[in-house]
Amino acid sequence: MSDLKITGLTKSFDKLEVIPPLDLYVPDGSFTVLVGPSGCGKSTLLRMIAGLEVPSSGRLELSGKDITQAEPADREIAMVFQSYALYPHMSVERNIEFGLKLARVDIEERKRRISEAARMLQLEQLLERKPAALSGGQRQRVAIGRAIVRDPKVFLFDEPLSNLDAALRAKMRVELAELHARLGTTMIYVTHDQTEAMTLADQIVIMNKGKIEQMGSPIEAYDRPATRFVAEFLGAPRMNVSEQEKAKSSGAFALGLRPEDIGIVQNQTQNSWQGRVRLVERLGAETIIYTDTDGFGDLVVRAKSDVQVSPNDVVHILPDLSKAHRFGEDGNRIDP
Amino acid sequence: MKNASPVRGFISSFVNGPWPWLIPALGVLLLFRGYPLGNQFWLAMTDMKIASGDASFVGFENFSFLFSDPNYLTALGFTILFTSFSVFGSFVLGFGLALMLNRQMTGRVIYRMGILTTWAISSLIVGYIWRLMLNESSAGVLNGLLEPFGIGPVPWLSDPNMAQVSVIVADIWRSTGFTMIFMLGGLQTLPNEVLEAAKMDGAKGWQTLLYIVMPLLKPLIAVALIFSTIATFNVYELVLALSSGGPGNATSTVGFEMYRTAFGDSMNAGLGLIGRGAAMGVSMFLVTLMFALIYIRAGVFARDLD
Ligand SMILES: Nc1ncnc2c1ncn2[C@@H]1O[C@H](COP(=O)(O)OP(=O)(O)O)[C@@H](O)[C@H]1O
Ligand SMILES: [Mg+2]
Repeated sequence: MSDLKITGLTKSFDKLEVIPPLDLYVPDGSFTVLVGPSGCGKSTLLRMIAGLEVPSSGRLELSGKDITQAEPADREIAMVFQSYALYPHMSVERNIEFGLKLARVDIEERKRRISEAARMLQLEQLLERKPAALSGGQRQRVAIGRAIVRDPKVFLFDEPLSNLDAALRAKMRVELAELHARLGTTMIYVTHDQTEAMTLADQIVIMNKGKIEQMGSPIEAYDRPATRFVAEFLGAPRMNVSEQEKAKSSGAFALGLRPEDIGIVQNQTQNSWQGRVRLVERLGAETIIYTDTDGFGDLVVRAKSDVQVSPNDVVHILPDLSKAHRFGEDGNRIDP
Repeated sequence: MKNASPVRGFISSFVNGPWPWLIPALGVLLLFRGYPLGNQFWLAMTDMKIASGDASFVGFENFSFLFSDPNYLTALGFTILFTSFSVFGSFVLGFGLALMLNRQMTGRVIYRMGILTTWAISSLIVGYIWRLMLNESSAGVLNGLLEPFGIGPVPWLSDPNMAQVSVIVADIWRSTGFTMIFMLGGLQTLPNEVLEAAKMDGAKGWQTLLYIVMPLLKPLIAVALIFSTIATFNVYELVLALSSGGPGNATSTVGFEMYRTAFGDSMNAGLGLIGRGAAMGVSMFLVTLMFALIYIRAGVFARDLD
């Protein structure tokens, strides 16, 4: 069992409170993703779990053991940094070996673990190279290798893919998911990218200004966002949220509609709305239509690729109101 | 129409190339560096004296004299000793202080400024300050402090060995600030995440220092050592002000010996010898040049590293 329990954890830098009291439970073997906009305190939270930042108050428990005051190296937690943080003067092999040497693991065992990790991460051909001679994706794998060989109870990742180009990021995302499936180790992963969060997480934790807005399965958060913030954060294109007349008439302060829950129809019906097309983006597989809709305002529609619209057309819009999201003035979800 | 004359071609490529822009700087360099250097080499091959002023060419006679001049050889010996201890001492101290001041602490800026000040003061002034502190009567600061404990008076400057130690300590005091600022600059360029990764890997403070920080700063350490070697090897003002090379010539350095030989009391038969002093100067130049070349190599090495 390597579950992580966080209770009442806070962090202030001088007078600036970055994390108000926070509770979080990360079950054994979970892939938990902390997601939120830049500056919301994700790294700070992760660094407190790692032991690189001292909490102002609160408690951290790993496998039921209090680790709040433990040294980073004594926590059985490994971390992969955003910049990879490889030791520039050491070869890939030495990089991976460093922690094992410090832990006085004997040489046979070191060799065994290094070759196992190298095989798993396809680093076998690169062991003699210095980090400067590696590509971004390779450096990333070395950083992961360095974490794996210590056989930690928990892996921490702080935006590990943000320095990679889009194609490589997609590939590494798959590799990370496979790695988690193979190792089964608890992973806590920080990102500001909601696609990464949605695809990797079995538990997603959406943070805003140091507070947890919602946690649960990604689909649950997507389908039933607990707050307006979550609603607008998850999904691309993001959810349409309006405070205009249509919201009022639905009995909410704000009304949210996902772009895919809206259709464009030929003929006006009793339930259709009227809007004017501002811009059409044809992405091939689908078409994104930006409209200005009466009583709602800006409204983005995700339509089939062959939809017949052009800018300045006046169109009839049919929202699936059974899938609409309603929020109160406090930003919280209103359930029917 | 194009003019195919090679001379015209050369002139136009010269005029349009980088050289015209370099002429002012090169001119200044030649005038203020090249000329004195050439002149010194020339003087080193003459028997010019400060008293007479006229000089005749003597070839390498001044240089061959140096090899049998006990004053020069003693000074050379002490200079090597002095340089080794001072460079090593100020490096260890300066790097240690840099490591301390690299951390978050109150009054950090004040410490930095204070320590750097020792380097900013003229060596001559440093020499006088230490001379006052080491004054051997109880008026001297150090002996005054030791007196109540029944220690002393310590012959800081009148005992040959003690005087050598005193000069070295004063020079360490003078040059530590430079090493500190230099290494502090280096420490602050180290990527924080790499140091944190080492921490996660279980490295203790000293292990991070030994296995991560020092190797990463190796090129910079080389440069700091060579800079301070050059500066220390050429020292003479400090010695002049602090001990005047004494007692006897126990604390005479090559720089000081050069100064004394070339410009010293012209009534004294052994002194006021510009030519011979210039030859000593040339010997210092050659040592400095050697270190400068090592420095340039170290610079190349630093680029290779990343
Ligand atoms: N060492 C620090 N000192 C002062 N403020 C900090 C420090 N580290 C982070 N912060 C502040 O804490 C907030 C959260 O930062 P961070 O955890 O890095 O956010 P995220 O990783 O979500 O982008 C930011 O406003 C940041 O400026
Ligand atoms: Mg961050």
